[in-house]
Amino acid sequence: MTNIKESSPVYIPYIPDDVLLNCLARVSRLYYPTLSLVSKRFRSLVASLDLYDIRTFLGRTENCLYVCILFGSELIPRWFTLSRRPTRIRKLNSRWFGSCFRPYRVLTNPPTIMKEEKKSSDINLMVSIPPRSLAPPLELTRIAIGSNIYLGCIDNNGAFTSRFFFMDCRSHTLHEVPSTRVARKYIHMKVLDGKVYVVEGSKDPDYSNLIEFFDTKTLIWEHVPSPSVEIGYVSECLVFNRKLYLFGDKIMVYKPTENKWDDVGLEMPLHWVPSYLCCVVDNIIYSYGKNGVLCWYDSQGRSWKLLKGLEKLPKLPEDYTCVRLVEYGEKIAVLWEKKVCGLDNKKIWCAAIALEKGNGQTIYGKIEWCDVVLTVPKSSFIWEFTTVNV
Amino acid sequence: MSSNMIMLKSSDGASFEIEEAAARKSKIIANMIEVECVDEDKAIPLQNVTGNILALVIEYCNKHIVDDDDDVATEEASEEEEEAKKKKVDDWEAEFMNSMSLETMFELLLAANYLNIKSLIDLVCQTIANNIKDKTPEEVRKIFSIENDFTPEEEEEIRKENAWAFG
Repeated sequence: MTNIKESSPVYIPYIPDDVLLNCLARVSRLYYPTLSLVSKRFRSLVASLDLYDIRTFLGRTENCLYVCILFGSELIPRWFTLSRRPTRIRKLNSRWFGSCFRPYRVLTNPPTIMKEEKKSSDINLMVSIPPRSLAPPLELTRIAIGSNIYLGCIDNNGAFTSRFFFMDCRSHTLHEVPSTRVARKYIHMKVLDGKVYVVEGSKDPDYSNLIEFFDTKTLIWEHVPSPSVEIGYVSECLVFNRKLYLFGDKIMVYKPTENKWDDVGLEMPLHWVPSYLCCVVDNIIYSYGKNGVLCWYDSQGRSWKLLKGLEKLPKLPEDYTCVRLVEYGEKIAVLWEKKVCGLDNKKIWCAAIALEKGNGQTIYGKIEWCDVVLTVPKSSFIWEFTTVNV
Repeated sequence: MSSNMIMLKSSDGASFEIEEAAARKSKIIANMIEVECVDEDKAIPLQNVTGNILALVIEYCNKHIVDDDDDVATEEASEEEEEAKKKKVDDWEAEFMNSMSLETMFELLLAANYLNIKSLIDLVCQTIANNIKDKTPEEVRKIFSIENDFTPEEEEEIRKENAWAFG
């Protein structure tokens, strides 16, 4: 049966939308930008919320990396999401004809079945999300919960407003949520137990209104009592072990389950690490350290330890403002910029690093991939790097 | 487990005998059996499924009804046994999907959808997903036998939106 069919012209029956969506939902979202170029119907299905509902239903949601970049001359930053480009696509001309002349692999050979074959040569790239789907006031602080990225915004004078938005990363549409109870001059944002915590980060805070949180289920802002001890200017926050840590003149920790503040024990490094340089995976704090290495905090030994096995990782810049670190599923993703001599552009690199605990107090990093994901003008700035689940 | 046999008739008139338990993998047939009190002498007509595809559907159902029986019988099977059994099913499914042309695969998907056999829909959809995931748009068009209905201008616009790289 098979042989006869293959030699005659192939008639592929029309697949109804619901069935096609069932197929597309099982494809990694990394390939959606490519699939949206197949036809108008594919483009519309790939952009549909139904597709994401099916992904959720099938338990096929994935962690996706987003980077937000402010281009030098522009007022509004641009968002990009990680995609994977099949290597056969080459930008030789404006069309995709390069692949037309290739043998039709699927029909001439039986398809490879049920195997998670990964061609290591596929290229990871950041692609811009559809433009002008966002018309936000200037956003400054962002944080992701599930498939949404929450945005705190500043007004024309550079002060934070009480208005709050989120970007739904399935449709890349912007939605406004109720405003914060108090407008703050500068904020830190953290996610804890599915709630967005907003912490005043200015140098002269209204101490009674230091913190509130937004419950993304009830859509209500709630006040969090401030610590009874003055901790001064909160320079950084961290969520660890389902608690909120504030780094000020002192380090204090808030336990939402007990609605209670405490002094910090041995679990926390005492020196200050900017949030964008550290992430927590499996209850271990990872950070970019001095001399461009990645390390993790050993809370028993109270010391930072080198993340081993990363000899092949390109050297990270020593300027820490050029580096970002985020949790990426059970992995960490590192993003960094690298200037290219003599060019007006700079390269944005990204690496996904899996983590393995070795014997005793050793953790090994395994580079899953490492690519230049974007080329941007030298004057641009990495605004945000985050993981969403869609 | 009863081993009642029932008859299924394809759109092109071929008749197949199948164990009722296997046929019940299809929610549609299960409903028919329950609601319409299927006459043992009469074949259930399946107007949207041709004989060659129905044969594949039946092969799949027969294979999986045995597996389901095993599940009941070996509740206390060790983890290793479970794993070995799962691997056996996976291997069988891989071989099953491997043996058919792409055209047949799509026909089978439509049949599974019509007959509402969830696990078979899942299997075929996953196979198709594995096949399209790292293909170029041109290759995916060929797999689905569809035309590129973008004008060159539209395609250029989308490519610009996606902007693989700046500048």
